[in-house]
Parts: sequence; C-alpha cells; structure tokens
Amino acid sequence: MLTDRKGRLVVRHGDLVVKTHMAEEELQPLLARLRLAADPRLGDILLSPLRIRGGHGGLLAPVGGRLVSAWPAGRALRVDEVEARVEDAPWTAAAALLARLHATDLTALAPAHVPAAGVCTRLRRSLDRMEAAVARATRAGAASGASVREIERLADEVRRAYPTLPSWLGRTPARPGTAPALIHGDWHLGQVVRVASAPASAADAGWRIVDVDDLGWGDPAWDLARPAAWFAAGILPAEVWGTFLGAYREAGGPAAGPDGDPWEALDGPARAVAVQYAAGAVTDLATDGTPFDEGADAFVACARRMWSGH
Amino acid sequence: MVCPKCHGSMRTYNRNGVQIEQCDNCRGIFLDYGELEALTRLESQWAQPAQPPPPMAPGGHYAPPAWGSHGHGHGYGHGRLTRMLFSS
Repeated sequence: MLTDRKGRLVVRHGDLVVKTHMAEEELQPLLARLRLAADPRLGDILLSPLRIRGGHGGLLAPVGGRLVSAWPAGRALRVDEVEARVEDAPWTAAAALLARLHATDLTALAPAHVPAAGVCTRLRRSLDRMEAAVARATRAGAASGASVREIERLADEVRRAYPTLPSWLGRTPARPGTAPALIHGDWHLGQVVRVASAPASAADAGWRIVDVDDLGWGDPAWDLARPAAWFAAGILPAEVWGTFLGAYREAGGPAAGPDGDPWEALDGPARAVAVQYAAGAVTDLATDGTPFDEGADAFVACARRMWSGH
Repeated sequence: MVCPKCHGSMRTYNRNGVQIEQCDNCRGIFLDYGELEALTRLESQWAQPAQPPPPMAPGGHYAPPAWGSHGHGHGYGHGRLTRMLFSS
C-alpha cells in the first residue's frame, strides 16, 4: 500500500499502481479527467493511466462499489529526501510542468470534455469536515488530548477567517474576469513522480504530475496556492519559493503575470489553502486528538491574521 | 512648587492634556509619574501618519502577504513541516 488518504487508497504491485477513488466521486467527471490524463498532447506533463479491459471507457473499473484506475509505477519524492535538502526537490521541473499544463489550449481539448476543477468543493469540504468533527468531539465531551473549549477556540479562528476570503473562491474555480486554464487543482510535492520509461533528454527528465481527481478548468493560481501558502506561513524558505515562482514564470506560466508582485493574483487561492490547512489541523485534533504541530500553529496564526488584521 | 535644581519658582503648563511643571529660572521641566509616558504616547500618535511605509522584506516582491508570517519563519527541517509539503 502506498497511501490511504481521506478515502483514496493507492496500492502498488510491481510496475502497476492501482488507485481506488473516493466513493462519492461521480463516474462522468472522473472519467473525463482520466481521458485528459490519457490525452497524448498532455503525455509529457501528466502521468497517463493504463487501459483497463472492459472498464468504463477502458480507464475505470468498478470494484466492490468503488471505481478503480490503473497506472504505471513511478518513483515518488520521499519526505526524508526533501527534508534533508528542500532546495534540491525538483521545484524547477515541477514549476515548468505546471506552467505547461496551464498553457494548454482548452478549446483544442473540446471544452465540453473538461470538467470544472475540484477546488471549490475541496474548500467547502474542508470546512464541512471540520464542523462535523467539532460537533462529534463536542457530543463526546472532548477528543483525546484536547478539551472541547480548546477545539472550539481553534475552530473559531477558522470560522472567522473563512468569510474574509473572496467569495468567488467557493463558488467558481476561475477568478471572475480572467481566462480559465487547465489546472491540476490539488498540487503539492506528493503529486510529482519520475517515470523510468520516459525518454531521457534535457527537455524531459521524466517528471510527471499524478492524481487527476481534481483536474479541470479554473484559475491557475490555485496550483501555485500551496507553495505560496507554505512560504507565507514561514514553512517554505523564501529562496525556494523564489526559485519555484521564477521557474514557473520563466516557463511562461500565466498564473501570476510575467514579473512583479505575484500576490495580487495568488492571494485569494493562497489564503483559501491556508484556511484549508488550518481547518484540516482542527479536524484531526477533534477527530483523534492529533496534537497541533508548528505547521498547524502557523496556519491557524495565518487564519487569525486574516480576520483580526494583525 | 520650587525647582529641585535651582530653587526657582515653577509654573504649571498644560501640554495636550498633560500637566507639566517648568522652572521660570532654568527652564527645567518636572514631570510627575506617568507624564513622560503620556507625552511619548501623544508624540507617537501624532508622528505615525507621517512615517514612511515599512520597507520591503528581503526578497522584494517575494515578501509574504499581510496575513503571512513576518517573523523569521518557523524554521525548516522538521519532518512534520516537510510532510506539509506533501499534503492536501
């Protein structure tokens, strides 16, 4: 088993990776996303799924009430490697992949076949999950290790920050008045793998983006929002953020303009991501008493500054 | 009141609501408990709008936004922080 995150199970067997998708995922948008990942025009950006004989569209097989997709095994980045030298992670290669994904001509892909990116659902779901977890902890009297009062206090920081976000973030994946792009919708370092079979050339070192469950049209700033939020929260060194953003712009990425202040474009999605991280930390605390660490503290502090102004 | 330095006579003035005593002879000023703090506070309130905007943090436009951490960061190199770079 590779990962079991929030209802998405990934199992590896030799050169084959099988992914079980979330139970509530509808077939059609997921199938559309897998078709995009299988599109040869995106073959050097996204990892292509393997064909499944007899499955939906040859890409998705129903197994025990869940939908399953199959992928070639790639080498994922390891937390301990990145921790040893964060600046050595493939920031430049990942930024170039995102820039090329965002530069994809949506009209050439037949717009009807491109679903909306899953970013709004993701944002709303993080708040819903937090409220459900807080309500359960309140009914139970407490979570192990944290009092109801403490959980409520932390949840309030998130609840007060949420209404300060630009309202379009929870409503539409693309920023009103701007052109939508093809975006990944859930990009972080865990979504980068290196494939052995790729032609080894200077232009293609074999890096690919995986996990297309939120792929679709939206504001490309969403795909830069996590690095931006890590940097803003003091988790990612400024030089690494500078390298990533610089490489993205260098590769023609449209999310934050060619130069100058990137925050005008990135601020909304980056704030939304910070609120999501804070909500996730409160959810984990209320659910199983996962103690707050520096990352959780940092994002709750961001949430507090959003509503209090300091 | 007699000036504690030159023993001249002191006169009471009101400066922005703060009572201060000044010696007519040596011009020395006597402040009661809390009056210096009150004057300092008034001065900073008056001076604030004229102050230039805070300088950009190192990195120019790569400075964090207002809601971000403006300290020295939380320090990189903890496994738990690195795991955040891998999580949704």
